[in-house]
Amino acid sequence: MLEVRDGGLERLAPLFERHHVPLYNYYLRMTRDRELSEDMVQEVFLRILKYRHTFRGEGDFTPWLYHIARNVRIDCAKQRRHELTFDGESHDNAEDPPYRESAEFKQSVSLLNVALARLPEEKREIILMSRYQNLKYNAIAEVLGCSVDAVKVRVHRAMNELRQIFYQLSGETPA
Amino acid sequence: MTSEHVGDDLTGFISGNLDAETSERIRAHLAGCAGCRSEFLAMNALWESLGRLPDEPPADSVRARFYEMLQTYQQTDHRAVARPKMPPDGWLARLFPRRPVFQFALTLAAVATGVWFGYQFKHEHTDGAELTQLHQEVIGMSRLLTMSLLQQQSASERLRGVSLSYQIAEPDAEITKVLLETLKYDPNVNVRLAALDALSRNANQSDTRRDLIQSLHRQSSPLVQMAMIDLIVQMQDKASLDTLRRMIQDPEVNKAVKKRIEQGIEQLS
Repeated sequence: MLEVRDGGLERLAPLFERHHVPLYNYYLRMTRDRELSEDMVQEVFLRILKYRHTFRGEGDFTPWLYHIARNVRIDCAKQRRHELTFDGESHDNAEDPPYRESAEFKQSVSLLNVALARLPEEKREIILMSRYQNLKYNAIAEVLGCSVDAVKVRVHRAMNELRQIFYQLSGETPA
Repeated sequence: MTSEHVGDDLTGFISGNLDAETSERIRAHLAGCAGCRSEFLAMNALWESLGRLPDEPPADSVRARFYEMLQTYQQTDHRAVARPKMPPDGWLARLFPRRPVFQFALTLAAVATGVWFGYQFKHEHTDGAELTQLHQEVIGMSRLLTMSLLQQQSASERLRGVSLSYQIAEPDAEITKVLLETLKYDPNVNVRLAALDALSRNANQSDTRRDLIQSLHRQSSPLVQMAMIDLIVQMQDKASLDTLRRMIQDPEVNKAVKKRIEQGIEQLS
């Protein structure tokens, strides 16, 4: 990213190749909207170009990327007045290929997706950052502007709530 | 609540976010506390299940739009070559004079030194052959660096290797071979896609085209397969029709890939 900041704009290509799929899935899991997610990925990389001079190079690129990504999502939600909840349906549509074939796997995936979608937005977001974007707690703290201890507590509480919802949906009893 | 024993540290422990000392303390506690162990097993199972949720590949248009945007930005943004307006820091900043008059003097001295060196260089090294040799050496170094980066463990380093291959104006057979190997065997989808983009520069060479078509069926990622089909269609290579038709008959081939093949066959026929 330092090279991009210093004028080597073509160096953004490897960063895009590395990050755009996880970023797209972060948005997809937050919004359940493919088209919006694709637009937001595009907007993130446009903002990286526009604001590249603000990258200080003191920390990792990924937290900086997700800081921008989060702002893009908030701005998009404001602009489109898009209600970022969904009705619990899986985002796989009929035309798309199934990822796995077994009914058990699909049911489990579907339940987890529904459970994630039913979490309050801020709890869903912190789980996504920790589990899917592989951000360490200190990086999440940087993105969210809070302490590492606060992140630790918030992730744990979000996971507890997710577990409760998942158990309710699957009809199991919590341990 | 038995979870009070481990408390809020449990998820951090599972995700590897705690320091070694705290992790060791929790591990010891779990060994002796059945309640916390049960809590740990349940939470760990959920954490693992979350990790198994499949990622969805975005539409191919996302990549196309990005590269279009990057190209447009490069063409229109004249600041692209400008240095960032960041204050200098570290030891270099301490060496740089703060008073404008000294800054001006330093600049003058630098210019004068540059002119002197330029004058010397002009008189001593006007041999064109030497410059050509230097140019060849630079190309050779880029080539070596590309090959070396493509062998790295880290996917981002391999991506750098693929990007660097663009700096070699005419990739030789060896670079092409390494890129083809990367396309076939690299464990990372993004690296494979980047290698395919790099190979598209050599798509007019029949050997490269043949290797691409042969490796199409062996690709494990539908995303890469679709990108390869797009390239093959773009190359208008009718020799690929047999391979494409065979793939449609294969029940193992992804449905979306089959759909893309059908469109490709229509365009090629």
